[in-house]
Amino acid sequence: MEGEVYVINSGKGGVGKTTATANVGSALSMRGHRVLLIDADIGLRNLDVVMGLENRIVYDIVQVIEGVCQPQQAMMRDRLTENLYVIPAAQTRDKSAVTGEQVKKLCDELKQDFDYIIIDSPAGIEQGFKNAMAAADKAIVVTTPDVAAIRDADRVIGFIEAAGLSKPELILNRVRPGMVRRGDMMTTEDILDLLSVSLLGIVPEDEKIVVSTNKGVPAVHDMNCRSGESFRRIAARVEGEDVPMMRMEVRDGIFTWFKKMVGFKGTVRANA
Amino acid sequence: MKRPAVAENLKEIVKRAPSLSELGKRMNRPHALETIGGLVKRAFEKEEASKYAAHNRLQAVLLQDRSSLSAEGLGALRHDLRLVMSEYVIADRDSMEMDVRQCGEDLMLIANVRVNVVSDPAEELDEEPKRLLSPRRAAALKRELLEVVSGYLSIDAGSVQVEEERFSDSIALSVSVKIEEGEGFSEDASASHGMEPAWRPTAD
Repeated sequence: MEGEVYVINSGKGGVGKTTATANVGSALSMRGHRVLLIDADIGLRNLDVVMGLENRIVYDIVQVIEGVCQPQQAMMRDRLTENLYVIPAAQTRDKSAVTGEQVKKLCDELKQDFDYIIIDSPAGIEQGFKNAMAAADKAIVVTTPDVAAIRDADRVIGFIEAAGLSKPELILNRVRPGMVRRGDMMTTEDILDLLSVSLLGIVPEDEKIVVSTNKGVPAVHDMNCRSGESFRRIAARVEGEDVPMMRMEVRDGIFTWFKKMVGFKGTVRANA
Repeated sequence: MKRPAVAENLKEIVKRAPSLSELGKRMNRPHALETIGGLVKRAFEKEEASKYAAHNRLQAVLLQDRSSLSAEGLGALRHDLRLVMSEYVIADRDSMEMDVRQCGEDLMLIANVRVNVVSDPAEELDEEPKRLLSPRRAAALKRELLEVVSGYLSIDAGSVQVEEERFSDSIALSVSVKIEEGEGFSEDASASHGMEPAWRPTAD
């Protein structure tokens, strides 16, 4: 059966497109699917380092499109999960090196061999974004709960719809539950109301993401990581499973809380 | 002699006592206490939760972004509205604000100016406060507004409203009109003013 091509974009940079691509891709392959990740950010490649594959690059997407090599030669097999491959972006070329039609032709060819192809789009709404979108069947938009990211996400949603893709789904990234509770961060409902899209998942702000990027191991591999859990659930939803949204609050049991209280009293006494 | 010692101790303890947020961190539940702290702070400072500001500002910005009327188009409309309103009231031209806002189901164009007035103690005793515009003038302003705005947007002709709100040192005159066609500026209006339609990606 023919696979589905997803594009992950955001408009604004730095909201977590590459992190989302790496994690959703890894989680889908952990669920037994054949997955290909394509870094479409030509000139600013990043997916390779986030996946920890920077030392394995031989060929890149521009060389594939120019016919220098076969697509299979440019695919790097993931270190941690089976059936996960990455085609890196070129670092020394710019976005005009490829066209949307070429990317589409490549994906159409490759989707015979994969269940999911996920394209990591560059930020912005220029040529690179158009190239990435041209090949996709479905789009996922990543945003953070801040005004600049949401505004850009809205623009991108408009372009995706104008391009004839189905209504994109939203990943709300880097949510800080404490701030939401205090009323200093918009709630998920506020944001869905503004953007009028459906929600694919909520990911809490998590220091472990930095650690996972440092190591080049996507957070979904850490079973105790909350953001990783969010991405695992997102992967399940991509597959069509109906999984409840992750609860953003970490609630301790009464016993743990009591233990902490006792511990806390002890430290005060020690200080005094 | 024990009492002062106890008091000293207490003082010392109070001095060393951690702040609310620090307490929260020690308990590894930073949010619980920060929330209480934030609520208490807010109650005293009468500060509105910033998420409302974010939501409202975004709502206005997104409406403009989605519309086919460009920033220049809105600027021209703002300019024209300012001219019309300054024929009726003497106000600082720069004081006029224009905004497109979602009010429930409706999309409204709202403009307002503030007119400074010297408050007259005798006048405050009057049953009826002084108005900026007589009903007749207000009706004339409505007609003119309708003409100006419909050059830019398709609007609901029956929805034009002119209101005055009295403050201690000023009167705010606000006009509002409902924009038709869901959440968009009329394509014709923007086209006739030479506005560019929204960018649409083309196949390469």
